[in-house]
Amino acid sequence: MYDVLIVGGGPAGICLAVELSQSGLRVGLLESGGAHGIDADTQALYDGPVTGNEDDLDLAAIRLRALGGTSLHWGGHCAPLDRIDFERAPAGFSGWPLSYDAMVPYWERASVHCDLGAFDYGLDAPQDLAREDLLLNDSADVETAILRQSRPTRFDEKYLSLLADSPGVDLWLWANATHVEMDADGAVRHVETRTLEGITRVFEAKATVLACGAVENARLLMASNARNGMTFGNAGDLLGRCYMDHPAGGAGFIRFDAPQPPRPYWQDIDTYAADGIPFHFVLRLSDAALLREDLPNIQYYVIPLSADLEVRARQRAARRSIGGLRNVVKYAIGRDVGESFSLSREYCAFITNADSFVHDTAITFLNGQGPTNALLKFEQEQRPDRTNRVVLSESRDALGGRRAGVHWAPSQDEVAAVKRATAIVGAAVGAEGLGRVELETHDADPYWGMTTSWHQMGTTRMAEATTSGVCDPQGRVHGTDALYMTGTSLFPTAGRANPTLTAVALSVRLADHLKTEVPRL
Amino acid sequence: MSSLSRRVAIAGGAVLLLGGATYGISHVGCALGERRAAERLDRPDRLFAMAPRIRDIERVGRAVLAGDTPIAPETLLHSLAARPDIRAACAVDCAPTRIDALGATFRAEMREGAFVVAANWVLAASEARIAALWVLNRDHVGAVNARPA
Repeated sequence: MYDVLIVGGGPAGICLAVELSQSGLRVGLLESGGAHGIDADTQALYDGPVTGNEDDLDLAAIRLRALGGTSLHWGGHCAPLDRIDFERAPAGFSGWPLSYDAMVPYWERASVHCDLGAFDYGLDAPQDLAREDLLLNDSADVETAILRQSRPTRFDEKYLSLLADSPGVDLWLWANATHVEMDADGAVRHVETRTLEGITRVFEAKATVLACGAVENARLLMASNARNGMTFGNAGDLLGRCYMDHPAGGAGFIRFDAPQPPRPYWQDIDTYAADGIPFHFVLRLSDAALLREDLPNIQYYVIPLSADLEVRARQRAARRSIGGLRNVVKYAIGRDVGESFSLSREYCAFITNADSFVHDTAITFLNGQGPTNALLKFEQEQRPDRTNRVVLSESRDALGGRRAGVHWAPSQDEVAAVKRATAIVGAAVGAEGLGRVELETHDADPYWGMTTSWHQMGTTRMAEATTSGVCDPQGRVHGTDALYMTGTSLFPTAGRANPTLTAVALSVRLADHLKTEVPRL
Repeated sequence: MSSLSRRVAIAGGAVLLLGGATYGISHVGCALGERRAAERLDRPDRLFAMAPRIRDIERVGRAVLAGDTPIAPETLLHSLAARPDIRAACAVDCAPTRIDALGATFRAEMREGAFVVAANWVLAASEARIAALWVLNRDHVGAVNARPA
């Protein structure tokens, strides 16, 4: 018998195991796939029907069933949730049962797991950033926010040897959890697994944690409840409901009055923290504007558009040249250049792109070339909606289990919210004298061109009251003794930020809880 | 060599002074004119100096006009005349100064939250009204001669 059994070897499950590996607790980590990439037959277990949108949302593509989980296709953009995400609740639902300040120590520790350097998201964090580099001065309504770029961390590569060498952790690969066997009083008897070859095992533990992502966490609990004839976590009929993503798409265009110089918002402009971590810059509505307008949180990438690909390529090469020179100089004067610095690489980048730099500088000086248009690409918080949900479908997987089905439909309210938020950004652009914003028009498209960000959240939301959520604020399934969830399924609201950092932070937080709680069980 | 340099310096300074004086006098003249007629929208047609700078002006103007049940030119003029900075801008003879003044008004409106979305463009409220006025004037020549009460 284990002290803690973790089902799911993605970022949340692996980091929980790593956090517990030195605790003296005996930990079992079950992973459905292998340790070296995707196995097609195992991945096919994730197939399932999707309704409500025409976005080609594919449950077997947005989730990965192998050690490392979704980190295997993660882009690595990271930011914590905003204060406002903790300070308001959506109409008809509870909000986060934690405070922003309570989360900070866990985000700090999660930042180490995610290779993000310091937990600092202030505008002072980027090196050598002048305020005039920003598109907009922070106003009452619109401000610039930064995202940190993880390598991106592949958690399997980062932690496989640590887990394999840890005497306190057993890693079980190819172990597909089929259900959690539970007593009527809420005690977990065991977790049953089955390989595709038909070998069945049962695992017992004092505490069991489901860390399989928002879709599979809900599916496993629903399947287990159905098998056991129970309704754990479902007193409020919320199990599987309030599935959320970050709807994303083109919200509009900034039509600048004058060609723009290079800005840190452009994706090919490299801006770094003192510790070498790259940043991305986005625009967001201020907390005050979100509250005043009752809008969901939202962020905008500003993507410069140039019809001339040759010009863009030359500009990229020019920036690579000056970036290489800057890094060489930083290295020469003893500044921190980050772990991945290579003198020969940076020097060669400077030399080989120097002609583009000279060419581009001359043209910019003579003609003032620079983008006069930029796309505002939004990523929007999707508010909880009971109709967006995970269900047990009628189709069966290779193990005989009912596949998850997902209904996900961005609403017309969300379309209206994007339009209003973008108009507010447009007003800030106009107030600054930069130009005008033209809203994107996709009204004929039923989903306004919205696509999924492959961020799955909600479905086992945490809340104090048993009727407001599936799990309590620690992540324990309401009505059970020691069945926990971790990861993005716990999110009561989504915020605007990529969810991985917060998912890992919740695992770190759960690890602290289990270290004190499990010895008492 | 040194006297040549001195002469060049003196001549350069004189040119700069003359240029500065011309600009300053013009600026003061424009400002005086602006103040004299600040209380009324004397020459609304002067607002059309902004027309080339309003993007997609015809679509914007028509969208504003289609937004409510028929908007009379007087209604638009009333709304525009309600802003002292618009009245002041209309009174300015010097077109570039007027354009600068209207641009500043638009920026101020955007800052104050007085913006609209018309034909998918995010515009200052007065900017959208000027676009509508421009369309009305084009469709019915002389429509903007109506004076606000």
